[in-house]
Amino acid sequence: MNVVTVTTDFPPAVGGIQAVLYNTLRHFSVTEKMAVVAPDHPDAPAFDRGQPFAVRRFPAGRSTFPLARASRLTRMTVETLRAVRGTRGDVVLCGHPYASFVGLVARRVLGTPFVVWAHAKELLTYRDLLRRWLPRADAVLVISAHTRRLVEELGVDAARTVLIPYAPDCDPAPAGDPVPAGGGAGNLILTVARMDDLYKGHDVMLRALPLIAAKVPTVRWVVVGDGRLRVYYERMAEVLGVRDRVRFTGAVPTLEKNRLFQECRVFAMPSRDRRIDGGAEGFGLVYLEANAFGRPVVAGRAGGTTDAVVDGETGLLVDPENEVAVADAVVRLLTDADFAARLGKQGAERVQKSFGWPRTAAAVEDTLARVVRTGPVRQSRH
Amino acid sequence: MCGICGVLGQVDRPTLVRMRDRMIHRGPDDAGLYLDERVGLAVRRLSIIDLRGGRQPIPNEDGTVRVVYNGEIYNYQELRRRLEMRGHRFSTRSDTEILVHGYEEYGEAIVHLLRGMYAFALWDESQGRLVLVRDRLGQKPLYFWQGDGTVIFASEIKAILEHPAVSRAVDDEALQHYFAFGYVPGPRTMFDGIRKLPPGHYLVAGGSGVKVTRYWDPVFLDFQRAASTEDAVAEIRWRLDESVRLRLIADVPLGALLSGGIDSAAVVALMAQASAKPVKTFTVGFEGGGWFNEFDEARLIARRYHTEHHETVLGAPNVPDLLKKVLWHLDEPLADPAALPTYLICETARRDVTVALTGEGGDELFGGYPRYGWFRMARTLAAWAPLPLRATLAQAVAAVPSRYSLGWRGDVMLRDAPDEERHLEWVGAIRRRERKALLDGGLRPAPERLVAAYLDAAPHESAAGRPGAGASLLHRLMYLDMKTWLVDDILMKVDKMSMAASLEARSPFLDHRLIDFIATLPEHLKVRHLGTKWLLKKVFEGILPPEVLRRRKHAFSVPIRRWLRADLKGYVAARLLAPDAAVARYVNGGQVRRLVNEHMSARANHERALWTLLCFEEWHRLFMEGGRAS
Repeated sequence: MNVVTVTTDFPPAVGGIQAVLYNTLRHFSVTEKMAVVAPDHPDAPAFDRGQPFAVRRFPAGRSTFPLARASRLTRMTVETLRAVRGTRGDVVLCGHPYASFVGLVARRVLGTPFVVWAHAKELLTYRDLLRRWLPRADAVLVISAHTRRLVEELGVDAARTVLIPYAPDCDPAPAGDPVPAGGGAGNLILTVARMDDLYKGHDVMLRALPLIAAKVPTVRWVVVGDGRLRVYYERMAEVLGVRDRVRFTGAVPTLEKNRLFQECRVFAMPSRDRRIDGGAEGFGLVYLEANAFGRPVVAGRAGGTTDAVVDGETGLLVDPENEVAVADAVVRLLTDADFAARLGKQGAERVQKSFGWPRTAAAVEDTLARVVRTGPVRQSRH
Repeated sequence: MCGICGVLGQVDRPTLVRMRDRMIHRGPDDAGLYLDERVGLAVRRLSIIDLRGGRQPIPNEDGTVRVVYNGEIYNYQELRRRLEMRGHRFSTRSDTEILVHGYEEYGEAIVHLLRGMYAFALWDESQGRLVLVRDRLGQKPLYFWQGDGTVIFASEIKAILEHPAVSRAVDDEALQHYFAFGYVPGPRTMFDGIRKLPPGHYLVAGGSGVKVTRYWDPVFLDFQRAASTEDAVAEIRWRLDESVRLRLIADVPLGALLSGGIDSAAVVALMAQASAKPVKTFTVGFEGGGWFNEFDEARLIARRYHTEHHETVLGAPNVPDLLKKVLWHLDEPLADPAALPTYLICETARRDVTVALTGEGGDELFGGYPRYGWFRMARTLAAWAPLPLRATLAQAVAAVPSRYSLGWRGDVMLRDAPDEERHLEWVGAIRRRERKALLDGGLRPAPERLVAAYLDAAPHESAAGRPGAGASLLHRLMYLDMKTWLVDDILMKVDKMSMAASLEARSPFLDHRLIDFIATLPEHLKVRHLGTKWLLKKVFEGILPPEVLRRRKHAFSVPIRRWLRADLKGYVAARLLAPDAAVARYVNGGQVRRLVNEHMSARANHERALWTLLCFEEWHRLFMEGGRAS
């Protein structure tokens, strides 16, 4: 099977979708020929040289001017058609829903079927266009039940969706590393997330922190990540009187991040589902990462987290808008070391057993092959 | 609703009782008291929830924690459920009791759980600590005095003054602030040595001294990426709706104070939706008020929501007696003429209801003051207009005769000074030039100093200097208003006037979660060009009549200018120009005479200055001279 992947997000640019696509494609095993069509990037030449597959770049550009957007879309389409011809592609994988237009054109012109990968947040923009394009895909890959609901809102038949969860970004899984029972020294809570959208729940954590401190006086909260909301959270920490308990590290290198995963006792990120706050967790890969390190997690019962976290087994799901509930869950994990260790261990086992990029890649390839073999996906149940 | 007071340190029972009963109007229904060798706590209670069971002070299970409390905690039922789940046993149905159990569970962090308006004192016997807490926005007052290891506190200053250790003297600096702003900005009061506990702060007193800690402040920074106006409107709708519903919880009859403005109209609309019975509404106007009256607009709302509508009228002849009464209740001089009609409407409402919802805070929250737009325009002008144009404008402004406010207003707008400082001057009481004359060169830079104190504490200020992190002009001014004018003028007035009538006032706009949300919305949703409250109007588009939505700002104005020239002419002269007038001891009497003469002869409009002086005079007679008559 020959696969052409077309996307608006791909390394060396940094981001969630970029990493997911790359990690998946890198683990493709049954695909014979592969090409990627992605936007240009200053570091692209060096990056592309090191890849086992061909990458065709189209001019990136940032202008939102309609004419500029149309021109970009045209270039992306032309490059994709060339790639399909060049690789004698059997199927087009649209790595970003916005690229589904390209899939449509390719199918019309060359007869290749196309599969769209829907993640989460990106489905909240260009909704009118997506409503026209997405329902016509031969299959839509969704990363969680939450994303499936989002694409259903856009008119996609649920029978046409295939649920394929992400894998944690700590490959190979470090669960085997020596992990002190109950986590590292100190009562450290960790959160890792970009700070561009309120839905991640940093604000709720900040409101919960004085309540947690009332029960666990030595508690500290380390917040990894950066974004335009960071300054807001810093101010909030100040006015709520918890500034000296919080350390905002900004974005950190993977090694440092992994060290913090080791060091913390609880990973907490009470994400919520509110459009005005920027959406919801599509899946919540980071919870699996924490689990992979043997850490129990506290997550908001909202969006895709219910697929990432098994309540009472790998972590605790709580009402993400209620800071008391968040505080209670964190305090329970900080004060009941046995319980915390059990959840952490079960979480690590689950990650090892059920998640991993080879597994995700195989599931994607499997769907692509099905589409090539038998046409549009029709799931009887999911 | 209640009045609380107490003493950390030795106090005898008669003193404590006297302090308490000085505030009988705050709680005519019941009284309570706790006294031991280390502390005395007392309360006057107006019963709103659990009429019989809510007697105070309320102790915990073993009597080691006791609380006296004034206010409403709207989420008490939810908190109670949580505390019961953790094994706490409640002996009453009142909202007060969650404070003692909450303190047992969380210590001072209990403050982070409370949603509402409150001031309370909590005595922790085992640790020998007294904790005083004031709500986030300053809806309920709390004053304290400290000296020689003693802390005295109360909901009203007059209760503190009953304690023999406290002497009465005018705070010099507070007086200067009062002349500048028309109210005394916290934490000062007009009484030397007596302080206001700032909103969103708590105080812990005990073995290690006295410590005041902040636990909340609004963070105005507009990076909430509102997905759309639509989403913001929907969010505010449900939040406001929730806020109103929470404020309808009471075991006594409820009503609403209705002006003609969008804020109170919005509250009535949401109330009507949430309650089965017709809402009772109350409106006040002025005898021969003309433009000042809002009866027509209020009636429009009343008809639309089929309310049981009541009206009352304030006439100039009643002003002298009323002013005296009002100032006695206010404890401090407050030169806001709206205090008079506010008292009157509360008194009228109290005949039918015990609790009334109001629209206070809508202006501060949604950007309801036209000056915001003007300041922003002036700023744009300063940044873009070529120097010659600005110079010409400044000259034109300087040429305007002083009896027109245009010259002064233009000067404030165009002057090269920090925005906050110019803004405080814009909203001030007695203009700088007049203050200089009145104070005979003894003028201190009150607004500037206040600005400095404000800048130190503002949460968004420490963010400035980082790229894109500082708050915009609009948000800085909104924050400033929320921390000064709203707390120490508007909310002080509403609390004291409603309590004077033994009425509880609740404002759905003053919900801190609603404020946290709105504070982060982009400013173009609040003020567009010179318009105001853009977003609030969007929220109520299609719900409220267009006449109400389109109406120009009409800040509860009182026809003081005319009254001072006509009906009150003799009264003003008798007070301010009398040989033994108190003002003459603090300011230049000749200048007071000049202001009076210029105003009476209509050569200039000094209504704000005269009213400010008059309120001070009456207040001084009441509080410093034992109620001396003229």
